[in-house]
Amino acid sequence: MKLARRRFLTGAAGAALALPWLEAFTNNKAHAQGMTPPRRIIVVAYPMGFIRTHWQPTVDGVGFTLPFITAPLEPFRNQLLMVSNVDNAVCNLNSQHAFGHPAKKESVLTGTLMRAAFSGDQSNTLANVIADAAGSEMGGPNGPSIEHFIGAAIRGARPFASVDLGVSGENYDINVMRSDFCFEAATTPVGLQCNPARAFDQFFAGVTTDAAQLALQRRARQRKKSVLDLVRSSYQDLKVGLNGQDQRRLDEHAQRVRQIEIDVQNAACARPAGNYGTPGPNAPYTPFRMMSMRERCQLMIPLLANAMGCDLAPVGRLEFLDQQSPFFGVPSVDTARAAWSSAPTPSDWHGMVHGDPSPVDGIPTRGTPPAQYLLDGYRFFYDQLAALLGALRAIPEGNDGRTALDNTLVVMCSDYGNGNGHSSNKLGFTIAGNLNGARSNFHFNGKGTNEDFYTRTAYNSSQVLNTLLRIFDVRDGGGAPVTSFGLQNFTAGQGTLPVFS
Amino acid sequence: MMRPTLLFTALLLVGCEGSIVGPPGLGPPGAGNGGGGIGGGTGGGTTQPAELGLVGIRRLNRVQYENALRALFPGTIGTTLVAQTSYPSASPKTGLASGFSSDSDNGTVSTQDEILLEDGSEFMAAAFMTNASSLLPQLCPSLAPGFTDAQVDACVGGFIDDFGRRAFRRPLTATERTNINALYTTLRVEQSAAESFSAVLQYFFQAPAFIYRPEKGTGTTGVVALTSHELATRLAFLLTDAPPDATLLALADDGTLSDPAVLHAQAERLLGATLTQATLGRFVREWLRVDLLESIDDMDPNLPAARRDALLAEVEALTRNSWSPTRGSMVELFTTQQMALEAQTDDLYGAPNQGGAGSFNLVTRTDRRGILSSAGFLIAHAPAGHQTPIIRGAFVRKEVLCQPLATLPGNIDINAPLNDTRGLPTARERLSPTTTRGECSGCHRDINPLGFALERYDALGRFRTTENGATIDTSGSINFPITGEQWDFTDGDAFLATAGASAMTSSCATQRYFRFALGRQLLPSELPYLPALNARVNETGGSVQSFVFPLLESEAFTSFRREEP
Repeated sequence: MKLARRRFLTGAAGAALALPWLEAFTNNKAHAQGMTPPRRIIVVAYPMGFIRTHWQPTVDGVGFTLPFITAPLEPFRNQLLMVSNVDNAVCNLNSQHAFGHPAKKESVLTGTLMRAAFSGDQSNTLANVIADAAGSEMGGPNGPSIEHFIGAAIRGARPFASVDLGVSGENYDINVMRSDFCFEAATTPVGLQCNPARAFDQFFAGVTTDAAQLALQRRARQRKKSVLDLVRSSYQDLKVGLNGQDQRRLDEHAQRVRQIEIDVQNAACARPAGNYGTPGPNAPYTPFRMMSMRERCQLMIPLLANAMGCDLAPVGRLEFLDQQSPFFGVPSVDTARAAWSSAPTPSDWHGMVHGDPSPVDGIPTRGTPPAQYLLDGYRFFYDQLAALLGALRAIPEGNDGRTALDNTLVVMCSDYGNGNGHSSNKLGFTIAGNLNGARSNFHFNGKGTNEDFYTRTAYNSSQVLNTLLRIFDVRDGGGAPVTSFGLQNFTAGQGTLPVFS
Repeated sequence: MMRPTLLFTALLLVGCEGSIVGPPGLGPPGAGNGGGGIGGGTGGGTTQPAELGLVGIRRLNRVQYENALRALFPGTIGTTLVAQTSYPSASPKTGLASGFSSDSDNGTVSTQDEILLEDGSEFMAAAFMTNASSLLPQLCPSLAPGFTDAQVDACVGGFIDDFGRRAFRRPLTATERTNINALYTTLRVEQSAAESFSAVLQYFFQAPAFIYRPEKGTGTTGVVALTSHELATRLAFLLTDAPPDATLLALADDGTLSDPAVLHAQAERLLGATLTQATLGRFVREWLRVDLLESIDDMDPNLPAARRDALLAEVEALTRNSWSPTRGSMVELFTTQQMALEAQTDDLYGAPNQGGAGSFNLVTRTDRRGILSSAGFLIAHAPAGHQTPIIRGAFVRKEVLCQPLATLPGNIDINAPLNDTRGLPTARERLSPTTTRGECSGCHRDINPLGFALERYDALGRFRTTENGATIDTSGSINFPITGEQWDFTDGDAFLATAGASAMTSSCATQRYFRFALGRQLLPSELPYLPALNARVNETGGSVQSFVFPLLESEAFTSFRREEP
């Protein structure tokens, strides 16, 4: 057993500890009825949507077959809810939010628009949405994302608020990147650790049993706690006399400091296998920077699964960060990518998704059938989801034969439905694990008026977020179920999907 | 670090349906404005008084944090500590499509950021503690080699006062002094003086008053003046990306800095500081988003890291040579044919040995004109897989000329209109449907000519006259409805000359410098400030002083508006 580095700073180092907090937050109604809400939520997000006809299960309801892109999920179909053809309806409230990548990514899990699309006091309510004024390119949605909200509700005493990992598809010397999908507060993106060595250090670096070292660590813990106490109180002192917005900014930061203080509690965890280089908070990015996404996933997915399996946090995030020209590590895609990028008129994965004619042979990628490399590229993301589900399933949790997957809800999403039109309509969600009363082995199809991916459907992604609230049985301070999320008073976004038995 | 792809994708989609129509009130110079962009504004009067926007708290960006560390510690200690910090990974970055790393909006902190910030503080403190026997005497001059813990105890109070004043850029409050001393004395019960002292440093490295720049002013309602220490901080970071030095702090302490003449003299002094040119370089680099080069994939065989570094450095060298406190002007920056070249980019400029390795030669190039023709700028705005003329044209219109782009359509198929022209040799021909089809032309007629003019440089910034064997036509004609200007240019060089000398460019530079100085956009209510800010810029062609001094004389720099209760 190993202690995470941050926690041994104040913990009883070297001790293998029980996880007493597991029962601290499962006292809700569903539990009493024999169904237990998930203990944690993992969000997996990737850009550029999909090819709907090769993603969507063959029939609605039960008895479906998963087509090529989603076929890797077949072993998990008994814990799977496929949701197709739901609109990101808030995007249609402001013309700016029907546009390119940023606004769509930021709205999928937050259920709201960029803050600059709001007038008045900018509170997150429909009445403040400006229908057609230009939004600021500074970006940032007007609220947190759903997994952050759920995480705060179910955290209990777990040492970390979240485990946030990024898989960069390009190679530059960046360790922490800003999430495009997940936000801790309005305009505050989650920071995603993309360097496996640093991620390993953060959660799994070992501790010594040497008595002298342990003594030094105890003294370091004492200093750290005293310093953090003073830092946090300094935020309270400093904000006096500032305007409201600045005070809120400092309050948010103070909450992050509080986060660190919680992090230094004790926990125990098994470390993932794999070569994580030389862990350390300043570990260089090399040799990881030249790895493909597949290779990075081989490190990040076990790390995430193990962190979740030993219940370090109620929230996990795994985000694929590059939509332009990621290095997949999938031979057919990488070969095509190389040919496209070296063509006289260069193009890349983004161009492939758009359906551009290949600069090599002039054949559009999204013909009938689509280019195999395009299908392979999309399937890659579902291969990784399957790997994560498999890793969670392989971790026993408790003494009743259940696994980490049985206690986890995994949600996979993208910014678009069909990627080639950058459409915010007809999105698809893959939801797996502990569905807590929502139907499993089930395909919910929001349909719509026709096959045109630009047309709108009867259901929307805000209702998907509400569905997640219900799965987790999130309640307010008075014990009443929280039934809606994101933009307030958004009538079209009320209610859950009709997926509960 | 932002990734460029979002911006590029967004810009790619610019321009189908609709036409560019300024937001309400976006009129001739000096008029009001709506939305996020500011248009026109090349001078002229107004009857509307300016109304200051709210101040926004700013967090130190990477260079500011590192400069502050170096300023706080004597000798090489600061540099040694900089090597230990992980603050850069958690520091504010440039915005998605525009904005500076020092903008208030970019200073939010995620949990991961805070972990890095706290980690960095801990490791810097540990590094200090490891060498405490040699470092402590440098911070507490009363200590001699072989000092005792009791001697450290005796000096720590004075250290906290002095160091705290320089770290917080103002005297400590009584509460702060008490609390920080208490941190030390509490720990001293069980820990050594060196350990306790390092904890004090660990606090300072992440203290909110150190990493943020709070501004509380001297009043409680309406427009209030900055305190003299806040003014010193604004001035120092504006000109040097570093905290106030001893001279500025002394003038802030006695309050004389609030005298406009003293402020002016201090600005003159700082304009001669070593850090000032680097700060001007950051302004240009982030305004023109040349920093996007940092996000290019290492695996791009044409742009290895060393070459990208050279391209960035070339832009800074060009700025240093064309727009510095001692010479040049903004017009010169945009029109000079003296390019600063480094050996790594020889083949991009088509001539070997024009620069040295790691040093820059000034070379007169008849095929270049100003910073928009630098390989660094051109590459940064030519992402693979996108229509370079649209990317470059939209950026120039919006960010160089500050002319608004239309409200953008969504859920559109951007490929179909180009199906019939894909095989044509030049970009102008391939993109012709975007200016002939009604649903596209409204925007693209105002974007494409700017991009076509830069087509004489390929995606790697290399000069060219043909594409796929066909002659490139870089001539064009474009209208700017807000200023009422019409530009007709015979080729790309004429375009660069026109754009470089344009009042739109200088006005845009003024607006962007305002944002650079205040950490937020110029608001519509603040447009009446613009004529005064622009006047000397237009007189001088945009000397550094003409940007700095009118700003210092403006209440926008010395005051802020308090939020209504």
